Amino acid sequence: MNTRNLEKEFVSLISQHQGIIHKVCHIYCSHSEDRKDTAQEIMMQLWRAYPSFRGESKISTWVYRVALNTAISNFRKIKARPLIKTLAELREIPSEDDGGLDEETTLLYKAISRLSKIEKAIILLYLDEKSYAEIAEIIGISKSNVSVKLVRIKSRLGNTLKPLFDP
Amino acid sequence: MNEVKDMVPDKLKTIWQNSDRAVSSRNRLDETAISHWIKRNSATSLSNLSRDSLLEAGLLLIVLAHLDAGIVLRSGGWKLLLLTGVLNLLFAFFIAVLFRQFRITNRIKLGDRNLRETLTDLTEVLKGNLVWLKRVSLFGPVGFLCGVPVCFKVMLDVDVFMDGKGLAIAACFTAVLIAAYYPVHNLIVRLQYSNPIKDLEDCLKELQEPERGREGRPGSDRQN
Repeated sequence: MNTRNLEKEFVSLISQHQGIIHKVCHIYCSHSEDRKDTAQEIMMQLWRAYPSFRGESKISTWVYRVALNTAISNFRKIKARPLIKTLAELREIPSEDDGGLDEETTLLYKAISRLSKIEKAIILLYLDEKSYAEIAEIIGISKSNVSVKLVRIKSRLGNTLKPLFDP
Repeated sequence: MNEVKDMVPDKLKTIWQNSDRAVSSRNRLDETAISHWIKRNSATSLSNLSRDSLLEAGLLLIVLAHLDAGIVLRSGGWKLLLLTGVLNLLFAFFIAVLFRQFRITNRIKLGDRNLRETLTDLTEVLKGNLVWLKRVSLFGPVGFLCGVPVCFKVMLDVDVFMDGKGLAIAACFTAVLIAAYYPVHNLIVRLQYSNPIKDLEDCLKELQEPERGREGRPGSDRQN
């Protein structure tokens, strides 16, 4: 395939799956400038890796793999964030460039932003309806390990956000 | 507790799916923008290097070009030419460091491996680079030592040091500079690399944690 066709195919692919890139950037970067830089870095890595993509896994799985690998290995300094245990504490944290999102979504993002880099990756894949097998493939751990980690993450998020869901 | 766990994920997924639309539509790029971006970024692989490194290299090149041109125009003699030679050598060394950074950036392909393999690979590469930078930093004091006598001779010729006291102060300062170069350079390199390496190692440790304790435990695979 010549470069022009490859580029056309790649552009179409990115256009369809750019939601994944934006979600990963939103979870790993709190400022819009960092998000923009990380999104560009992810697209560059995708473009570099695309010629060797053999279609052995789903395209979305491959995009997730590249996006998470890029975001997690990013060396930008991230301030250590204290663990949040209650919804009231979460509400007190000032929002960072989240204008336009409703309160529930902002709180969910805030709660996720308190998780570790690995936990963020796992919950992101889980919320995007990826199976345990796919999560295990992207992260590189066993399905049982995915299961153990998910129980822990859901419990942490659940305890913090539970009052939000109570009628 | 179980009630919380069972109820929350569904609700979380609902919120997530709603946010998905909002986040994606707010940042959406059209195909022309993506195409334009690819052309701009694939045109030069130098963009893989940090902007600061390129700026430093550019400034150093301008300074050296001016120095070379000045020497040629004023014909300052072989001593000045030797000094320029040493500076050019240091510049070549700096370029070698940049070239290595460039090679490392290109070596790490983030699309071929899963997260655990990528983190392992990256940690090894960074550790290797740390060792390499520590080794090559030994050349810094050598470069200074080569350049200093020539520099002093030139300064004495043009009468920069008014008396012996000034010369003694300059000599002490130079000695401190040469002695301090290696430890200070190593400290800077360590500060620059130790945090990312620690960060990567922490991630790897977290990935392996429950797996070690649960190896061989039956019935732990639970599909969603």
